[in-house]
Amino acid sequence: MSFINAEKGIKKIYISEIFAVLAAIVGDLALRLIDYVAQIHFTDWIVIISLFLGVLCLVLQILCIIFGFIGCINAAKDEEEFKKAFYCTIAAGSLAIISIFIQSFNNTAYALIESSETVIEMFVMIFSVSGLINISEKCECTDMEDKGIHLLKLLTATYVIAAINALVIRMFELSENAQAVSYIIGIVDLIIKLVQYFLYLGYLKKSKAMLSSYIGANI
Amino acid sequence: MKNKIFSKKIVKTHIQSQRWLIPVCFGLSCFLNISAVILFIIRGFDGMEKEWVFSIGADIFCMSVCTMLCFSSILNLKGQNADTYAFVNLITNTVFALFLDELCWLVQGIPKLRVINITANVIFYSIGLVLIYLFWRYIRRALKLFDMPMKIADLFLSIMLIPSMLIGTVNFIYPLYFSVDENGVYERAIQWDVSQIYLSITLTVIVIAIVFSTASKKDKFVAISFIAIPIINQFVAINVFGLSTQYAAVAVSIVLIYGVLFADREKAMAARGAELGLATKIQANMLPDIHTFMPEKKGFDLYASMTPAKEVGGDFYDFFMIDDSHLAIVIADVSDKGIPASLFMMASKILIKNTVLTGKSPAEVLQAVNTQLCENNKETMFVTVWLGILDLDDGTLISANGGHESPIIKKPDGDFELIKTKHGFIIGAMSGIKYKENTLTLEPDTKLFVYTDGVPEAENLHEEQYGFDRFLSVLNKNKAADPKTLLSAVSADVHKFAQNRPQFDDITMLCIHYKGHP
Repeated sequence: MSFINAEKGIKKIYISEIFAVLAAIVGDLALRLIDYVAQIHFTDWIVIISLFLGVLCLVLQILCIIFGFIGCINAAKDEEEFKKAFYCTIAAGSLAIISIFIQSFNNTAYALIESSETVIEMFVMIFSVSGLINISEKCECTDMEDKGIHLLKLLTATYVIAAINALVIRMFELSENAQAVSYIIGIVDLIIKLVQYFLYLGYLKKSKAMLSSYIGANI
Repeated sequence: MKNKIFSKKIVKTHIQSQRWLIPVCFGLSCFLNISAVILFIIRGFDGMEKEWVFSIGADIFCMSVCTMLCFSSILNLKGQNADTYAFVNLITNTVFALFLDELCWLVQGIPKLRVINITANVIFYSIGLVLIYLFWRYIRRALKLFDMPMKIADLFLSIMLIPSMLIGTVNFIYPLYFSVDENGVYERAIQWDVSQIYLSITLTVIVIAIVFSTASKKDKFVAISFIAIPIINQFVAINVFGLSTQYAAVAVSIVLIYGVLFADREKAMAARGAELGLATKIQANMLPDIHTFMPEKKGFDLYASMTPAKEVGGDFYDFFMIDDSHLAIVIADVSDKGIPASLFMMASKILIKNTVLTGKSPAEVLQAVNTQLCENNKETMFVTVWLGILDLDDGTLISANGGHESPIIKKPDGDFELIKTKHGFIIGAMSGIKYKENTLTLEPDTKLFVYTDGVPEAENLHEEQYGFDRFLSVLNKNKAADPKTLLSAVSADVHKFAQNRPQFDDITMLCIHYKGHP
């Protein structure tokens, strides 16, 4: 098997994840900073910058989704796990849209849908990495297989921390220190997301290189 | 087999070590069931809303149903496996959850029992998390979801269970999920949805696992129904205070699982049982029939028996005339038990007989059979064989031993004794092995007894082995008896020693009474 489709797909997924990292930095970090600055010294420029960053974040997320879809469809031709990742991406996207509408009607339903969405996003990553592990096994690259398994365990740990953070935020929602807790947890969440992305990006880059050399050797 | 490298060990399976689980779970379910009824009678209907009474009634009814399911698992002892234990574990936790739900309603509105109300509710929330986690484990086992993504999902859920349960204990000191006021009335807190987050996460994982599994549509439907029925119930009952029927809905789903999955398994087991019954008959027909074995010359009396540990066994015996004066006797023991051993047994038996009939000596036969069995033996099965060729005219017995138990001989006017002969290597493990022959001259009225290690290694409930002392003792008590009576006496003695412990190895014996030149 040549894995040409998998290589194309992984390249697209890699680009998609870069957009995701940028969206996280713009959407979470930059907007939080703007929000903090606005509380100290509010000006009209802050509104314009916030709008610009919001639109930029939206565009980056749309690009992330499009490249992610195309990447999964391509890679799925060579490895079944990417098909599952694709279906999970659709499910996560659908839940994200539903949660936007539900948020203003029912907080409980919103919290539950949001937690389900996080789990499905976790599965997108798990299925993708699992697919890469299977490809590494077929290419007889045990080093990449082992790295993949370690990555899965690390990603699981990060998702556990993120889930516990979500619980803690909800616990402290009504307390006097809610805002402070929310900021701290938000920063921890962002750090965890960035750790997840960089670990995943690192593995994707190595997988791309592995596939390129495998395809080159088998042509 | 006394070969140390390949000696048989008793394997205590994880399944055997969990046999205590079902009776304990059944006992606990009965206790909770009876306690629930008694507590309800003591409490009475005073101050109870009709919705609470309905919930309590549903809880008690469903507890009884779950207890009956537990009882039916005890009745079906043969069919018990790891799935059964996981299922019974699930049922018992459901019974516990139903009991707690009932308890919460019984103490509702009673100020003096406020502490019990809070405690019962905290445990109730925790047991819900444990129950959904156990269901995930059960579905994973039932649908055989052991690939990497599901292992990771299992790791994630098992780690998340701990902080989720710990957060629940906060309710002892702070009304996070609920509050119980001074009048003993329960009320949901604003952050009640935190208690549902682990449930939501686990349900999502379960749905993903079921959708992407390779199970049949029927199995997937049943698995999905377990979570769909309680969710539908939750939507219907969520805004009615007092209508707490989610665990009753869980019990309904369990009955559905039991009816579909277990019924399917029973059908499969019945079909397998029918096939095994046929295999047992085929194997029994392959062994020579003592009653129809009537060579022209006689001069001996012979009897043999093979009692398999399972429906089919790996031991075999054989006896046939090579020519008018020579009788071949074979006894063998294949490694392992059950169907794989029986298939290897049939191949070995045919090979040995065909090779003996070519006129080779016992050592040459074992060598030739060993070479043939070693070819394509990817499963690395092996067999121990004792082969003897008896010259009926002069009583010369030439034998060869391929890793088998030493035969027992009783000379005229003597006792049964173990005769130490040269042991060769087992057959089928390594090619190129040469075997040595032993030559004995049997005087008229000599008895030769060959057997497999199922006899001396039979164990009782205290894990003591039958041993050679008892074996020789029972033979010598009946030394004047004919072969058939001897075998019956040994068999009865082994059975008495075993004290109803299930037979774990095949037991095969053959006795020949050489009477002299016919």
